[in-house]
Amino acid sequence: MKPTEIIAPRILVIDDNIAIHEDFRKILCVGNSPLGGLENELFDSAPKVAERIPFRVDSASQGQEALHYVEKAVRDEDPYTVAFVDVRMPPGWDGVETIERIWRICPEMQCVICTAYSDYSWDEITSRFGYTDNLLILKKPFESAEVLQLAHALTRKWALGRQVRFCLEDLALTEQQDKTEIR
Amino acid sequence: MNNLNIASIGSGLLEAGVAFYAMRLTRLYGSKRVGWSLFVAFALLALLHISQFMGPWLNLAGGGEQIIYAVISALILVGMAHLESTLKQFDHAEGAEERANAEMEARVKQQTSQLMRANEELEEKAATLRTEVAHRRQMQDQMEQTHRELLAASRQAGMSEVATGVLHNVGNVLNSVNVSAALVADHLTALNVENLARAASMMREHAGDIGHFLTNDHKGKRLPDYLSQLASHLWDERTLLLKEIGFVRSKIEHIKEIVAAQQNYGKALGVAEKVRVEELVEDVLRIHASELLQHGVQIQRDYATGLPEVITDKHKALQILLNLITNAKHACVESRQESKRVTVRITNGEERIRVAMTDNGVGIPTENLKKIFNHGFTTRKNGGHGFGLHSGALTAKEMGGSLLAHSDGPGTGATFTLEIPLKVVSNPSKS
Repeated sequence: MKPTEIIAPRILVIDDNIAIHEDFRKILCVGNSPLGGLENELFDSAPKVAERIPFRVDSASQGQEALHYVEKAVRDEDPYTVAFVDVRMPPGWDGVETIERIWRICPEMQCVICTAYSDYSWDEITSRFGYTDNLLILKKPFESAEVLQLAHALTRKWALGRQVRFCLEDLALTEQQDKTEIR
Repeated sequence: MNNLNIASIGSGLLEAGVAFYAMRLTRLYGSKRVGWSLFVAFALLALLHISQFMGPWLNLAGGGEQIIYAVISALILVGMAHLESTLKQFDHAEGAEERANAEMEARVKQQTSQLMRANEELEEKAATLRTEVAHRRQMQDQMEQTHRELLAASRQAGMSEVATGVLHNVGNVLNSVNVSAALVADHLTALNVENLARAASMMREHAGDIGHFLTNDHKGKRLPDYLSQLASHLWDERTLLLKEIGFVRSKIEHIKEIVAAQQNYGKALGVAEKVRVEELVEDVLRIHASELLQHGVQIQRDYATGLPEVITDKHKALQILLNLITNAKHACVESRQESKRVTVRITNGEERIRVAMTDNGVGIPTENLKKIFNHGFTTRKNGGHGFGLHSGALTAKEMGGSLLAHSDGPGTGATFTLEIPLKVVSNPSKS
């Protein structure tokens, strides 16, 4: 798969509350209207609705379970782009610990911490992770638009980051080849 | 005459000896003690001298009186020597007695001083003890003060925990409400009403030759197909929207329950109302449904049939039952056993309804059963504040009922029974 072609980006929702899993699915897995084609044929001036990107959403209710999914996704070479992680998930790891462990095996993953109130302050988070640009905080209750924006923007950011990395690797390879040819 | 002279010299010498000896005794023992003895001695001597002169009349042989004189002098000397030795012994005994007395006195003095020292030490110790007692009392006061402060702090912490819990629960539910509301709004906006109107106007335009339009026009031919698809789509949308609105309403109900459950912590004034206990218990189980499910705690219901309504403060009963189910859940989770189970039994009898929650969790040691309703007593390692059961027991009493705990010991689970009277027992403080 070429880095820029993300057909259906994979998103992981980690929250101990099953209702929240459904919330994310409702927001992210919206299909297009089945009447779209027919309507475009019938009515000339019909307003055009942008096609929705169909995200593939998986959900885990505990950090350990989530890490298991991430490991499998890395093995299958079909990685997750974004994870939405709840802070409080008793009895297992909390959100911050889960993210720490995820980043150990998949450092490119974009993470969004979801919290109903501030368990961690900004200072506490930076003291755990440093000034990372792979982490955002989303306050509950959230708006559908916020989640959609985050999913789109972070997927794009993830893809661009990968593209840059591949380009650099390509360049390094070409340079190597050039050097050997010159010799 | 020779003999006579010798006897005279001997008696003279003896006489001198007596005088000398008398002087010595007087010097050694004092004139008082020896005075009478000397007087006797000199009286004898005087008697001798008289007899000397009287000798011729006594017809004694020549020089014989001299011999008698010498013998008597010698006897006097011997008597004096005896006197001296007696005096010496007497003095010696007296000295021993004196020494003994002195020794005794010294010993008494020593012992007295020892006693005084001991006394002083005792007094010192008593003083130290007094200050120590005062210190201890002060420390005890401080500890009691700290204890009170701790209790207040734990109560506040408990309240903030409750507030945090409310925030967390309400926050999560609100999230779902928000998402559903947005979904409903999106779907309503996307509803194909505009296109339905367009289809209608298309048909109106061809009102004159509608048959021809629907059978021959390339757009008209597809219109019936579109309308039937639209109908089924709108039907689907209606179903989806109804489902979503139903979901929103149930979530709002859930928020109301969460808030209601916590209202008692905010000293809401109790109002007695008709309550079906089994419904109340179901509410409590519903509020904790997700938590119980998450920890794999199974609920078994054993409700008696034909239970009467009770008139009681619903919120108070709710508060107690919520606390009981939380405790039961913690007891089950802590036991780490495979089949975690809580049995809720509702029975009816003697003008009161009994709700018994039996868990198969860690159980309660006998020594803790007495303390379990104490303010500040908790066995939970993290998160316990020890006022749930305490306030539960108080609230049960306020309601005219009771809260009882039973356990056969560690590992055997526990049963908490809430008794609610059918009617409110009039509470003088509220009438």
